[in-house]
Amino acid sequence: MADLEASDAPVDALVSGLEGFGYVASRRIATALYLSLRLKKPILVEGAAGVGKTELALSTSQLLGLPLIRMQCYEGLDESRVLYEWKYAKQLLYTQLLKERVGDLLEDAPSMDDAMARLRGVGDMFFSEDFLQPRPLLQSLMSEDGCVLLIDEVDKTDEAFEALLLETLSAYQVSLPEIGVIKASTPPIVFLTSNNIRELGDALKRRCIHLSIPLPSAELESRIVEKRLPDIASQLRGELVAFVQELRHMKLRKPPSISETVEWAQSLLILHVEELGVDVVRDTLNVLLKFESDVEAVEAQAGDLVRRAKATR
Amino acid sequence: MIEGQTVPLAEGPLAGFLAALRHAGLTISPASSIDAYEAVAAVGYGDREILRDALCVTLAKSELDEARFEQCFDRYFSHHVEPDDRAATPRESAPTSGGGFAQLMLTGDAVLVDTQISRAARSVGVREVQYSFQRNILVGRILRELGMPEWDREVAQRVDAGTAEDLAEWQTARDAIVSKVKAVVDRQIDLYASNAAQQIREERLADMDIAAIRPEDRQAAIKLVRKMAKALASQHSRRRKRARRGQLDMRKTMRQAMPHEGIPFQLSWKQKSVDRPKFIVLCDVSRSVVNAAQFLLVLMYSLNEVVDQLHAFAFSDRLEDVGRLLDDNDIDVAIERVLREVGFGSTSYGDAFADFAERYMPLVDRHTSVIILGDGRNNYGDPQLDILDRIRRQARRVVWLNPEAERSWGTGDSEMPAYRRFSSMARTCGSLNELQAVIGDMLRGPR
Repeated sequence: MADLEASDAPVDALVSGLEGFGYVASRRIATALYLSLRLKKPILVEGAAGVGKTELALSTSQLLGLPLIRMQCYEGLDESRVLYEWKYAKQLLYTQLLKERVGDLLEDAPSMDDAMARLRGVGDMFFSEDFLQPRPLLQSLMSEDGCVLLIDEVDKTDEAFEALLLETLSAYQVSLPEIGVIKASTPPIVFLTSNNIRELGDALKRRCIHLSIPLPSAELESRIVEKRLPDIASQLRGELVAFVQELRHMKLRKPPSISETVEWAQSLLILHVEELGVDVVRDTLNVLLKFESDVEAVEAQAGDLVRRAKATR
Repeated sequence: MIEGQTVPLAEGPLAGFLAALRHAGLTISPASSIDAYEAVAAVGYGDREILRDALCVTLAKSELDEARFEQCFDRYFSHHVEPDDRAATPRESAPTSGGGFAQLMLTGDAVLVDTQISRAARSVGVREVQYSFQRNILVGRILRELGMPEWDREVAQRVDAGTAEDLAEWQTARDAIVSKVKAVVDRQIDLYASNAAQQIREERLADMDIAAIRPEDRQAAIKLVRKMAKALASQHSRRRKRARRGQLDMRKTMRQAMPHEGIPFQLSWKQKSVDRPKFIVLCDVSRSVVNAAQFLLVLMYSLNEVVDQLHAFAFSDRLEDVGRLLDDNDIDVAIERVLREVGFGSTSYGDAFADFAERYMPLVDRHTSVIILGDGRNNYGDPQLDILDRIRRQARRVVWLNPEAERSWGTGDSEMPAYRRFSSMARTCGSLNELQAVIGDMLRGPR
């Protein structure tokens, strides 16, 4: 962070910094990240599955040398799963202990009122930090030296949950009724990712830097593959990227995204393929495409697509 | 016009750009504009790519926003010569009057010329442009600000005096200025006006007497109704979610507490039963109310997603089930078919009620809201009040929407006062706004 501030071109510094950890970022991604760090605002990352939303958070945590706290969202996620729970079992155990000791404790209490007061003092103890089980959101606020908090697939939760996030993400604090306000000493760096399953509320969006990651250009994709698989022959790399780019123009149920390209490149590498051929493509299409109907559609045109991929390269 | 009078509070290129974005349909909240200012402070104006990226990630909140943002950014920052007041050319040295500017144009320092034009444009308030018809007025004002009239007079005098040897050159320079100014104004209209005009039109339509909506506005009105329906739908679904958690379920909580010596660690909540409204719509499509009926049909058609059951009937004198038509067809086709098959007859509410009672009465139960849309003009026939009464007792409520104003209820052949007595509620719905309000009330659940 410190050297970022000092740098003349912080955005470029971020690009190369991330690249050091295997993440090839476009300038827009780096700019968004830079602003999110500068303005201390959460960053909302949208885009199709597999374009590197989660990766961005992972690489950022590595780059900044901060621990990553990951919170996977799903429908029905509620406060107790993300903020805190009480350690019921431990409380129960203490209740038992207390029961046995209650006689000793109250033995010399002069009056009923006095006895009650003593018991109340013991009761309050049950809802103290000793019995608190922090969940990711609270953990991220409590981490002393800061951390990267990844709230993954936030669009899978329902709206009530968003409201909870609003409170936490705007002030980096949360109030627990039994204990009081817990405020982060170092605000976490927050990434929210969304696949656009549901339109997120305006209030949440307003509090975030908004980044949408599109499918990459051929040039960027080629660099990403190179970064991930340095061993791959440049001819094959060019051809397979061109091929994938072609596929994205077809009407498919799930066009391949970066993670599929990388996976495919890896498979080809394992198979010792040196250049793209119709047969190899047919045999490995299922790595690239996730629906049978897509595979069939592409198979029918495989020859043509391979030819074009070789030509555009 | 006095300098400074029309200049917006926040100055500088960013203020103008934010305004342009708003006019392009982006919602820019105060929070985002603060972000934008901070972002610019962080990255500066130096690198255009970074500036664009930085503004985009702070201001655009969806993919659609992003597309609009890109367009706007290109148009604004590539053409917009807007010198910072404090930094750029000092004002007093600027030759804005008459021959001075003309001379400048002839000798041609293009940047200075553009600067002059955009300053003149700003001082006549070009940013407040709202409609495209203001174009010529604005062009005229800017030319006046630049001193064009004086220049014209001067040239005319020289022509009279026979000393205008370079007339052609003057003319070329003049044309160039005029076309530059026109381009500036067009760009402003492009940036600022199109969306405002659209909004004003929508507001006007929503408040207008439904009967007065002209055929050429009909498409726009239908679009508006669908927008309203969408808003209602989302409001309603949110309400439903909020209602899901109910009261504490004491019995279950106690049972769960048994293994923990009766300490209720786990609380259980009773699910609140969620009311899913059912609607039956009886729509008078006779000549007198056909206009209003169309819009109710559109609204109902678009509300399908929040309402579990919607039965739509249309009648003049005979009543027809038109639900299928609404389900199967594109909205325009559907309405046209409804109108062709049952519309434009002479009304008999009595007959229509009798039809309904005979064939569809079982559809009505205590969850059903029955909406009747019509003017209640029964052509002096039997109003069949007892059937309406029966429907009301069997349904949750009967809401009568009348496009006529309340003061004409009961005049002539209107049975409205009687029908009103047998309805749970009777309201005028003269405009689309009123229509939306009534439906919204009904979706809000039990009364």
